[in-house]
Amino acid sequence: MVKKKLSFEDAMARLREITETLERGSVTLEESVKLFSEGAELSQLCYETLGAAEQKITELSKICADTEEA
Amino acid sequence: MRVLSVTQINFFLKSLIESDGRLTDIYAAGEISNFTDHYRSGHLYFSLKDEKSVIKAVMFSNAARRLRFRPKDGMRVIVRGRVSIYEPSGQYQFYVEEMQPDGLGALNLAFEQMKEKLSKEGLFSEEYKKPIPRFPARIGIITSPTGAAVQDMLNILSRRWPAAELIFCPVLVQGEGAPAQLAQAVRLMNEKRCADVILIGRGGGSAEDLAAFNDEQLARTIFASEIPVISAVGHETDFTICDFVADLRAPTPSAAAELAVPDRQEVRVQLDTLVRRMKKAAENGINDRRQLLDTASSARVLRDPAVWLTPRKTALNSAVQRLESGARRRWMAEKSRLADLSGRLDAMSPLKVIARGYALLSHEDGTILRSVQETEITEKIEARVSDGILHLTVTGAEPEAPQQGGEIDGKKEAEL
Repeated sequence: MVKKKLSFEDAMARLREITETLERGSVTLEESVKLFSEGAELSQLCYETLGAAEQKITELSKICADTEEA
Repeated sequence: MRVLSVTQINFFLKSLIESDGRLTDIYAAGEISNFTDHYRSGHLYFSLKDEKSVIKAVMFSNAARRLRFRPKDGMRVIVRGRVSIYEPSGQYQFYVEEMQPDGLGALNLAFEQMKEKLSKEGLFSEEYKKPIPRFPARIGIITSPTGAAVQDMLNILSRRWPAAELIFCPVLVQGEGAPAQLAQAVRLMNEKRCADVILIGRGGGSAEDLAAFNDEQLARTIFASEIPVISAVGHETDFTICDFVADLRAPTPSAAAELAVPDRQEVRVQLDTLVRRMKKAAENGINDRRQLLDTASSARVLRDPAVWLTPRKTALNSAVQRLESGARRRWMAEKSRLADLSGRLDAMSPLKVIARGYALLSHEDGTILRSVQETEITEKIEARVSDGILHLTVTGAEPEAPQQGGEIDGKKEAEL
């Protein structure tokens, strides 16, 4: 359901939105279950980003070479 | 004695001076005076003087175009060139090929002039500053691969936000070619769209070391960059053109790294809080509903349905009864109305008319006889009475006023 491409910023923003919606309590039980499971996935995604062990370093020249090949 | 022309003298002196290697490629220091800028030709004319002496100087437009500052009276400069004679006037002068402001003030001056120029063009305006993304996924780093600056940046970035991919572009950060390499790196990153934010800079150094970051073309490239740029040149006290034109100026490379990414420990705390709030809110949602359900299921109607049901059943029964008796009354009324109507209809029957003493006349073939004109004397006709048929013979006819009641005629016809 949650797209892999979602940026950390967007994931955090959506998570905040879900939390606030749930806190307002104005959704149906069915919706709140749906929102909660989306929120759980998002938080998983965010924790994965935060848990990144090693920084990836790419040289610009490699990107240039790769795009030229393509 | 040989008599020389003026031209010959000047020509001779000119060749004499120009043949002297000590005067063909020299440096001289002095202060500019009588500065004249020939706007049309682009040549610069001025004098160079020190405490005791003065020498005329000229800088032709092709050399003047390369100047990185605008000379003016009173400015101390170092010039490079040769000494020669302008033959028509016999004036000997310094032909300047290159000129630099003398001393510490030199770079400062060029810097101030460049800053003023670009500022007037609006390159430093706040309205053009792009926001720095809070959580960049890719960070472009443009700096020297060997300096301490790159190590500082890598350390801080990997400690604070290792999830970001670093796009590193090693470049010369000082000396000839450095500005072009720096600008090219910014351009390439934009072209490949391979970074969400760019850090450009170097560690501390002398004013000359940092000069590459005052380059006009680099400034314009940074201004044109669609990716936000954080500049990080030298120490806190160093300001470069690059700093002014960048979207954000960091006092040092380390500070740039801190500004570029959030601290993941802090973000983790935020995320924890958010997740806790979300769980709590979801739980509350379920608890609220459970409570509602409890309240509802403890209601009397669910525990003892008869309480609710009985009065309603009674009401329904009485309604049905009312409906039935109403219907019955209606039926009775309709029935008596029907009897009345059929009685009235019966009274109208032609048989009933005959019963009251009337007779129906017809020819022998059975057709009804209605008029004296329809018969003739001696015709045998029949008369129907209530209990049989009489056979009659017509013995006379007396017509009287025409028209009998049509209605009775109709009824007779209908009956037969």
